[in-house]
Amino acid sequence: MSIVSLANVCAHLQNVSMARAPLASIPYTRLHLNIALGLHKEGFISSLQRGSQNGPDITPVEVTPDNISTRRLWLGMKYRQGKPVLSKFQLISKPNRRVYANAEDLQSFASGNRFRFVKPVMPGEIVFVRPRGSKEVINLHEAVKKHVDGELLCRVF
Amino acid sequence: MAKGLMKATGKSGLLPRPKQIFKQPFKHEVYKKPTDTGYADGILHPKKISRDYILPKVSTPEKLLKKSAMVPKREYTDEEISKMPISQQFKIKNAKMRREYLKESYETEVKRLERIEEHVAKIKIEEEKAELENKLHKASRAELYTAPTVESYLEGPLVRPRTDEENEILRSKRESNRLETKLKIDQERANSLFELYNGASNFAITEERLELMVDSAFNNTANESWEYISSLRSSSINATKSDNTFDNEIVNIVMDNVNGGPGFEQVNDYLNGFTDDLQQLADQIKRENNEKSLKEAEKLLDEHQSENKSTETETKTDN
Repeated sequence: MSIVSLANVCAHLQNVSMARAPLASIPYTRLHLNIALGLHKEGFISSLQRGSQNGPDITPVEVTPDNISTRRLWLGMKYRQGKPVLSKFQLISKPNRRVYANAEDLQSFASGNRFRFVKPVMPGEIVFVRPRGSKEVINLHEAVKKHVDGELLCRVF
Repeated sequence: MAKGLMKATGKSGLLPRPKQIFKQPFKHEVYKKPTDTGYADGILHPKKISRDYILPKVSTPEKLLKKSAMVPKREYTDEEISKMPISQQFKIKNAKMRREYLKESYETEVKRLERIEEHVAKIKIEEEKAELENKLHKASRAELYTAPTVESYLEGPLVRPRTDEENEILRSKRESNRLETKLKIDQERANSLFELYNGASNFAITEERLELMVDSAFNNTANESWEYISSLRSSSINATKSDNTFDNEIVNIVMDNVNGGPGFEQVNDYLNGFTDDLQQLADQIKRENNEKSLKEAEKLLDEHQSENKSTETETKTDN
């Protein structure tokens, strides 16, 4: 289910980029927060704020089981010279075709080789990996450094 | 497509970009070479390329005017002009006007450009000031140590679990909801039970009763009332005795009667003692009213008697 919602987020962010909207909201979950943080670190988005369905919070609001359904993450989209910085955001692993890779495969993939049906990483492209047995999401290069196995979640460029 | 449209914008309805009046800088400025640019000392530069930045040629408005709207060598007097043919007169007049307008346009353009320059310089100064302030600004200790980071959200649970107190409130709320629903259902069931109980008095539970009901269903008396109404003329309808079913329905609703017998609420009121209280209150009010009216009657009687006495004495005195 988490991968399905991630697919929705990917499609939504692509649409928002194409529409040149300044802000995008995505559901508030651990996976999405991890992905959004990764995007911010890599410079694909300009800001990351917590908020509700009505917009970003002005004052911090505690997340409780009563208000979790209305909580959202608000991402500030980036554009340069009228073109979106985030132009493509796609899933690699899918609910009916999971893509797991061991440390060696990840290393080979990171060095520009094709892995199974997954096309090689392009310059400036970021791949998010979920290490096996962990809830965090890391960059492909971090995964190679840590020498961990993991699931290839999505790619951004 | 119109001629020259592709060259301008390529789109119909869009005006071409306005041309710059001064294509070169219009005034002399001292060029300051930016630091860390160009070729360093001792580094050779390619052939046919200048080592230093070539400044663009400056064409001042005066220079431009001199070039394109030079003042004529000879100034004609009005007398001389009047002697000239009309076409020549117009030529001289037009040339003079063109010179004046060109000069005027250059002057306004210079003013406009200087105004823009001033504005840009002002904004630059403000930006520098803001940047300096930002650089000097130091986050306070409170800001530094209390502002939550996004990473800190990932450390603990994403959603704060409910406290014991909140859980208790939620449980009691759910319990009250459940009880409310149960009460509603029970009341509905009780209502239908009373309806059934009261309706049972009309059920055919013996053979005699069944026969009686069958006979009553098949005799013609049921249709009589309808035939009577249908035979009436419109003028006499109002004079007919109205059916009292509507009144009965209202009484049933007010008294909470179901199927001609007491309903659930009526029985409930009786069992709770509400009916007795109501009865006592009604009796008390009735008693008080009676006493009051009795007193008033006695008072009236006394007054009447006193009036009679006074009239009798008056008649005696007259006699």
